[in-house]
Amino acid sequence: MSVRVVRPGAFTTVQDLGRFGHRASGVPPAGAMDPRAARAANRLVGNPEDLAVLELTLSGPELVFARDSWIAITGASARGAFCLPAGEPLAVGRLSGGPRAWLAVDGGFDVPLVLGSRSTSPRGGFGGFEGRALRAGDVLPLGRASRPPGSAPAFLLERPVTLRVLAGAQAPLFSDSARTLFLESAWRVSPASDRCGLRLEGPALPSAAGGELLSEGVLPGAVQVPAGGSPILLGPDGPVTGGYPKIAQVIAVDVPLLAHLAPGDPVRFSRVSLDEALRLRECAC
Amino acid sequence: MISERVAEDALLVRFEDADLRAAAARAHALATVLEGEPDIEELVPGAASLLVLTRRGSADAVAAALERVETPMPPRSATAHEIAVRWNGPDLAEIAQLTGRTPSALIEVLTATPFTVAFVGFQPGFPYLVGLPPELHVPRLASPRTLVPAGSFAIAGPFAGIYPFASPGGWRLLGETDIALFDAQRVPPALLRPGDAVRLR
Repeated sequence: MSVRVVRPGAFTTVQDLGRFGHRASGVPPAGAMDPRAARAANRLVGNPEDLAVLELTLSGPELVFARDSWIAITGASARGAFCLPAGEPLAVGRLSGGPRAWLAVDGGFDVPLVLGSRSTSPRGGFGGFEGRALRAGDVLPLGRASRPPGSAPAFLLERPVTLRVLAGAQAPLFSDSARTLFLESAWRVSPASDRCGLRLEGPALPSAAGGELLSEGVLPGAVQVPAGGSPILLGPDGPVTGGYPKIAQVIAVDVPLLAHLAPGDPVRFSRVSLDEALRLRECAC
Repeated sequence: MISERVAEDALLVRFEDADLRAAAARAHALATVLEGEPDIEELVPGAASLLVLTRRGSADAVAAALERVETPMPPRSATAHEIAVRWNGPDLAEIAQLTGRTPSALIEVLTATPFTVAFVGFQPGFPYLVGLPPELHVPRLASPRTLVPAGSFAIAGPFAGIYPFASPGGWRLLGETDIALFDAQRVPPALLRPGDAVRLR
């Protein structure tokens, strides 16, 4: 059984919870930008949490499923599980309330596992559906549903205003005034933002070390400051190594919030201690 | 060896060696020691560093263990690769002139240089090769090309590299290769791995 893409939406990709263990080969983790939302969508249709879902960006696709399907959408334009009869088109349209949503179907989107994951890796052109965003006319295989639709805690859409950060790997190289400016400024998400990274607009931060160091391993949520002084928040499709000095690192519980920041959204940063970050993570389910 | 906590579950180990090839060897030696340890999730080599991703809740224990690790330099028999290059890159003549030699003398230096893969990054399978003689360290293009073809052999700063995929890029293009640097159906997917030895011809 399969699903046909009538219209792809602005940027729709197949994602699961990510591809791990291959960073040393230069493979970024990819995966749903907000894994909590992807898990909730799967739970709503009775799936194991790690089945592949579609990640929708700004505007959703129009899809026709070849079999009766349970569908759920979390994130923007969220909708609890509903039954969609075979052949009836589902047009998601423009997302409301945020820039991203996750659409699950009972049985999951059954694209091949590549390096342990079904997530799309656009840099390497593999994973997901043919290593790219969906296009009109694509036909994706569906998995077999194994369980009746379940329930999941309501997944509330969060529009983050403040991201909590630890000191970045190169924080000591930045001047006191640069660090203060970073924490006290109101930033705005630039339109030139995607799953590789969110670019921020605001005051030019005096960079450190000329804005360029020897490349080292970097993680999603790293706040890099290139010579131009506009910070870049690294996303799940960003490179695994980078040479820009990092002024901060978004704490683990806040990294999924990057998914809900749209171009033009305001964002601020607040500094927390490592102990606080660890404690917050213990509270998070 | 300096280790620093950079995230809840991540430690960054930096190597202070002035020579990138020595730093890469130490990073690789440490990775070899740590690989397969139950508290370690993933190891990400950098130019003179190793990012150690730990199992949730294990970072303190791994940091303590790192203090005790002897940085060994095992005389490891590295996987060796010989890569055929067509020396027809659009920057070959300019880089030869910039470094005060003829194109054929430049090619001679490059084919005589034993390179080591320091790390893989930028693109899946993109090898950062160290060992380039200092007189061949040239700056990147001030404005990057919008399209560098897949397979291009290029240099920039202290590194040489080969683009597995077509992409924008600012490195200086000296030649082309037909080598398949990345295969997602293979484990590990990168052909050239940190610590591997590379010769060009």
